[in-house]
Amino acid sequence: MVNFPLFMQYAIGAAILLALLLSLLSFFVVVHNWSFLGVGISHAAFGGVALGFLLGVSPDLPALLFALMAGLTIGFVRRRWGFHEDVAIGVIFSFAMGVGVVLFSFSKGYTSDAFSYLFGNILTLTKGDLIAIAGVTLLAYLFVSVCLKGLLLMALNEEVAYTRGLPVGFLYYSLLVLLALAVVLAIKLVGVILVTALVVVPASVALRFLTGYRSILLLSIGVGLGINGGGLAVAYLLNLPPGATMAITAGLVFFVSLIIPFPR
Amino acid sequence: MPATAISVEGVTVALNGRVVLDNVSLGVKSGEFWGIIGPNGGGKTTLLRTIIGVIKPKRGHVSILGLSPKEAVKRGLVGYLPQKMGTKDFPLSVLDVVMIGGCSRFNFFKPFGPRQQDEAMRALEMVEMVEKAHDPFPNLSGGEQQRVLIAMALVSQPQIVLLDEPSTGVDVVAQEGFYEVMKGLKERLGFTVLMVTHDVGVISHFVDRIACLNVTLHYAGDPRGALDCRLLEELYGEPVDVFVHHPQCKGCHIVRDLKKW
Repeated sequence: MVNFPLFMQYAIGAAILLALLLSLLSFFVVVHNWSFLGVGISHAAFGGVALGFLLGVSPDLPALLFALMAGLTIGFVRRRWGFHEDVAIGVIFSFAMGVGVVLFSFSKGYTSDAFSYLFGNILTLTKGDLIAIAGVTLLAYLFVSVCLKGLLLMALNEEVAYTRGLPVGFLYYSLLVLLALAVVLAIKLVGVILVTALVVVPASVALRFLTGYRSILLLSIGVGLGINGGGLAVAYLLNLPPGATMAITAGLVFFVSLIIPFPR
Repeated sequence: MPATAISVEGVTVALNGRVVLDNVSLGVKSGEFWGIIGPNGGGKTTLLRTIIGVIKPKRGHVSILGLSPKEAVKRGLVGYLPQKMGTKDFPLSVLDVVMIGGCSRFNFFKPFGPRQQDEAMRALEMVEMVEKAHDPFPNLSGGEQQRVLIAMALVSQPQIVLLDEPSTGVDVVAQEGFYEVMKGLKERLGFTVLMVTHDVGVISHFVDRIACLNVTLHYAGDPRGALDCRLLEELYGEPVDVFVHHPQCKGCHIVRDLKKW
């Protein structure tokens, strides 16, 4: 049996749990056309990371707060003013990134730490991170199992869901909060810039081959596990940056899925 | 005398500072089939969205079966088919789409079971789509998709059905089939239908009443009255030729004089 060093054990645990979490949410991201939501939230989290460095505290909590604020603001702009989520994402993405860069410019000497958050660094993963990821994964699965019918109807049409008496606002914001939590927790593994691949690719691949939400959700989770597991294994064996290797794996899986001749 | 199903009294709606509905009043009796016609931007969709309570009127009052829109929606009395659904490429089977449409606050936490499946199959039977129940929804033709979406709106057995341009993108023959199905269902099940449409000529054969809306209500009453070219010219702001398509599809005729028709 291979004895992995502790950091690698944490990385394997995080990769598996994040695959379960992000691939589940990936289905809702894709059916809502929210592909850029991961980009918006993760870059907003970067603003929080920079604030953490400037204040000399752990960047985890500011990053989480920035990500949650970004998710909720994107949702609020959409629901209050009727803009598509992409518009709010575009604004918040550059705004928070701008804030992050300005804050980093005040705290010189942390450039390498910034890179850890931009591209991921498995050495920064802690046991606490693993527990947090496990907790959010459990919460996401509970939420989706209980609210699946409502989430599907909301994805079909929010106003129809409303006319069925469903708590559309609660479902919508809960989904955004879960996504914000998932993305911010994935940053240490894959980084701000690369996390989007893990949010978008699993369900996109599953959607090419299957009809029916149950089978698509299951295949999406399988694809996510394959990408994270495969990416991390290749990175370990070839001594490559894990986040980047996972992003490349995700891209390759997507392109291979395009040329497999059995679409639904 | 049938009770009032939908009551719209002096409703004025402004969106982004522009008045979209101005002092509109409409009384729809239980069991009636209404068509709402009017030009683009005339406020047809806004009227439906105000009736279901998504838009709050600046002035005026809306009630559904004597209840506020919010309460009517809570009680599951309303079936709604909006103009745009996210279903076009949604990776669901036809049966899934209809079953999901049956989700309400009363069965929100219960997983789908044989009962929901039976209800969905019955709704598909109503629109003659049972044989396609297990097909992927995106693979259906436009007309078939519309029928499935109607089944989705009807699966919860609502008393009021609101349809926003349900025949958009569907060819004339499929449109007529669709209206026939709606008329038959309305007569069989006794619900009230309010349908926004552009098919001025076609719809007049199928509905009990027509409302002509362009910010204000220009006409509400017998369908034949709505085919008056002067009224339509006033409504659309330019001369309008009405193509009346006979239910038996004997051919289309341009009707300029209602008496000839």
